[in-house]
Amino acid sequence: MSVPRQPDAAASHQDSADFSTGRAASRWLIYALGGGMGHLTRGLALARRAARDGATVQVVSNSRFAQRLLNSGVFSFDPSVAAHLSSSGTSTENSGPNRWQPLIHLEPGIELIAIPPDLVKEAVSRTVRRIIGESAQFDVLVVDTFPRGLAGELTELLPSCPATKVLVHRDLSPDYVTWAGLETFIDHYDLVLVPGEDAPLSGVSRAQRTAPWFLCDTSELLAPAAAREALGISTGIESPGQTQLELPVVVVVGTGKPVESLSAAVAADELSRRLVGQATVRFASFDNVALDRAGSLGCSPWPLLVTLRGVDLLIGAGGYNTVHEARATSTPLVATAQPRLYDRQDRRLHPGEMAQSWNHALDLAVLHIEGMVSRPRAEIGQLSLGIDAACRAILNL
Amino acid sequence: MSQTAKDGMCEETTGVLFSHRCDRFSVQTCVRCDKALCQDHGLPAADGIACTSCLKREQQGVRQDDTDSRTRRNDYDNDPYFYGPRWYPGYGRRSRHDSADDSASSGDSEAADPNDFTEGDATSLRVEGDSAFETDMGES
Repeated sequence: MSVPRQPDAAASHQDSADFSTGRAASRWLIYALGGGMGHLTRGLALARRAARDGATVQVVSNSRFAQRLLNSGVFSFDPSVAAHLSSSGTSTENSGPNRWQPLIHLEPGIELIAIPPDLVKEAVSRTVRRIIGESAQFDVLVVDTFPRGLAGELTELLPSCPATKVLVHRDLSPDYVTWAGLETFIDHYDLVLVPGEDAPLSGVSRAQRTAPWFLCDTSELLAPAAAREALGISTGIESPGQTQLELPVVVVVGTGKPVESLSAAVAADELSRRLVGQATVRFASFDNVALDRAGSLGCSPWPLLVTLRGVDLLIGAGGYNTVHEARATSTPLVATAQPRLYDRQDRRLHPGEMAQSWNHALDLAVLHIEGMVSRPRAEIGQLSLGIDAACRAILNL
Repeated sequence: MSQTAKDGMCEETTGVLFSHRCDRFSVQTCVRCDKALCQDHGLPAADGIACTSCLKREQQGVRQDDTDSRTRRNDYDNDPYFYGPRWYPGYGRRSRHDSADDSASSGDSEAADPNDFTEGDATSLRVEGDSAFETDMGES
């Protein structure tokens, strides 16, 4: 069974690049399995930084959005030559038009291996074992979040893997830490990176904390006007002499599970009615069913981070990227903590950010817009601090 | 149209210790009672999407007609939403093949069951039970 992957566009990249330390360019494999966009986004963030340093990077994901991203044109390859893996046919994620609006392009040397999202545990395990077996020459193995693998498949592979092993330790349920014996299993890793938030095993001796990881640097963020255009908001003056009143922009984010994305779309629709004449509401998602429900409110800029200078209020769930991207760009956030098996979104959110339900979120949004005072946004710091520190830590091993 | 339907909210009731309205937006309606439903409270039926209350009433009607409890036909046996005494009389408390002489099967969908626990009243937002770990490939 083959997996969709790019052809090796990185050969010339590998031959020409050296690290600043004089070491030969290394090969990385980033294990970014897990639902939604969180693991994939962090994996790609690290991949971009490593690729800029001359590494060739394979990112493995089973996100329901990975195949669409593969076909979006952001990679330095021709998608028509990618081999496609047949799935059980139950996934609808790849049906319908690809509405992805890429706003960045990824560096040469990055390859995305998209495992179909509807593969069951056993099939995922077999696929991962084959991928890691085929990529036996990699120098660095980075595992995002799941020390034993999403299906537990790394328990057999990790002990005999000769590569430098790095764990990206985002928040994890303590129940899972106990159930999986992670306090001892984590000893298989040479380095534990803790990107910007507390986590159960962040106190181990080989752990290093960094600032949060972001897919883009500050220089890639769009100016407010360009950001609004990317969100599908017209900011032009329509006729001579007309003064365009620029309304605040509220973006409702549809991420996570399909039912959550759909609820977000319904919420965006409702909010648009409540804020008519007071704000412009947009619904940002990559979920086609949710986008259909949102109608003219829908847009799919990727990554949404680069548009946040043009957003006055962000409404979404409490996932890693939504929360840290909003905070880093000083974008006001109203979020509902979604139930997850491993991630504790309710712990990540601050009390001032948290809504108890979508209905509560809409009420808070209306209050925020009605009470909003126009003032300059805080300057955005260097978004790359966390990912720079992470790469330095890995290279220093 | 009810107020909740006009507000766009799901009209199904849920809960553990007491019933209360679902707090999610409606995205569909029940083909039988026209109740507004969120994604989770609408399930496929022979004639379209039906609410869990209508389907439960249908199951209770099938069970009363079925003289052999071991050949009870229940298209939703594997639907986790129907697990628990609230929706499947006797399940979890007695053998599911015992004859259902249970107040919960009287058709009163509002009867509270202190042993039952649905997501509507869960105080924890984390999935309970370790059997789900390293099983669901879509989790995060």
